[in-house]
Amino acid sequence: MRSRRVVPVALALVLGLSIWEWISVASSRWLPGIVEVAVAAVGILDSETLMADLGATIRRVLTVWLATVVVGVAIGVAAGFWWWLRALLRPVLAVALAIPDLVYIIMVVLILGTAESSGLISLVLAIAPLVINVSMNAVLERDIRLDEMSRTYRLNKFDYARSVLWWQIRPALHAATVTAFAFSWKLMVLLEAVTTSTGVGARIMEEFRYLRPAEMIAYALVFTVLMKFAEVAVVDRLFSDRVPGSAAQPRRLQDA
Amino acid sequence: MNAQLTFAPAEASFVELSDISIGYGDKVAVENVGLTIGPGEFVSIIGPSGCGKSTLLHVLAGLLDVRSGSVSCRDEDVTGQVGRHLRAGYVFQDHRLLPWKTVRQNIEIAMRSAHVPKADWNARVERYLALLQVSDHVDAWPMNLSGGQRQRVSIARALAVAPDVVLMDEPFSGLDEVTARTIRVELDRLRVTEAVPTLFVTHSIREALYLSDRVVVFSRGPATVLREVEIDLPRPRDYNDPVLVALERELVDAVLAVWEPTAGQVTSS
Repeated sequence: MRSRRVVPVALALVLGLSIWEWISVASSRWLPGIVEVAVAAVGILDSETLMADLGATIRRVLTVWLATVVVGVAIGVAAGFWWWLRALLRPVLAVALAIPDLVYIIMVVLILGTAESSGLISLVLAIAPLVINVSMNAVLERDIRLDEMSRTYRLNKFDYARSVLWWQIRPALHAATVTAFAFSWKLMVLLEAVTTSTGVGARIMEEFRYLRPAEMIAYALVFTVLMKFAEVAVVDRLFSDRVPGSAAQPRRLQDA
Repeated sequence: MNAQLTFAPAEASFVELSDISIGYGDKVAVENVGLTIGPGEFVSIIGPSGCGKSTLLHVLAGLLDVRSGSVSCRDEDVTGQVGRHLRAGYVFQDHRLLPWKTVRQNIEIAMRSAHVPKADWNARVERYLALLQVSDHVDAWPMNLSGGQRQRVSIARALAVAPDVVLMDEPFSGLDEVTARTIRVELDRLRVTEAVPTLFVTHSIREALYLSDRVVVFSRGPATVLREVEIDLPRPRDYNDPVLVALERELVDAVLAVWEPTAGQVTSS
């Protein structure tokens, strides 16, 4: 059974690397080859600035992610229960979800300046609508019959939230949380490339300016591997156990 | 044994609904209905679909307020605050168990909310699950039980909260006939030891006659009470008791003349 999973992954890896190498040769090495990128990656891992850059980026990613999840879930759940808030939010969400993320960054920087906090606010504004939308719809899709049962048996608000609502909205909150994390680190690289001189995004931009594509790709790969590891090892595990008593599996928006 | 259709005599009431009207928006669901439930009495409501039977249960569960009239409990006026004064155990048409809680946890969460002392939880869970023949499933997930077993657990939950009144809204309509008959028999046996005042809504006249001390017949909506019938048969009862069969025929003919005037001849054949 294990080989049935390993073989396709190994094949995809070999195929991907082969295509990469072929494009590298075909482009007269404008795209650096695999060995070149590997050498650059070793150099980056040895560099003195890597930890400082990673630390700055991870701190910003965590700040944006936590703020997005807390604000987004709170507003989304509230909107799921209160029609007037929902009526207010729906047109705002329709517009907010359609605006390209880069526009948020540009607009907030124009209004609030280039301080680090401006960038973080812009990312929260860019990602929160997604979390709000998912949370709100999860609450709206809850089983109203269980609400009626809860009212009949006089469940207090805490018991209702913990025993009735939570398990119904949890799969959607899982999807929203994981997706918000993915957006947070991907957009953070973009934000740092555009607005700051520290962090992984700034390093990638710097390597691009100096026309060092191998280093640029190596930085991106190192950071991507680290973030994917964090996503699988930490973020995904926040909701890793199945909903008891059912075979329901958590959904992931980014896999759709 | 009084095995004939009679108007029920007035008796001391545990719950009394006086001249109540209930509505949703502009629609009136129940109009000027008076109904009493005596201590330990099992009262069934039968009536055409959409006549407001379930709406009446919602009032006693504290989910809805009446537009006019009054509700009293133990001779105290509780209109507008039924939920605070009357602890109801509710058996819905579907089981409404939390799929992510075990059978025991489902009952415990209801008992906690009903302020049943924690020291009594275990005994109550075991007692009512045993009475309803599902004690083997105390740690099972509801979704791993059959429809009949889930509904038994739902009944056990309604009884375990030490209710002032049990409300049942067509609890057997989603079950196959054999399972429904089995649970009806268990419910009838339960009446011998657990005479909690019960208001039972059903479409089945035989079911109502079999289980009840009194049957209340509603008109088409907005519902009014057409008649009340006392069933003075000893328990446990036999579902196929000829007396019940005769009563059913008599009552069907009586109510069809009002519910479906054009279908009056059908039942006589």
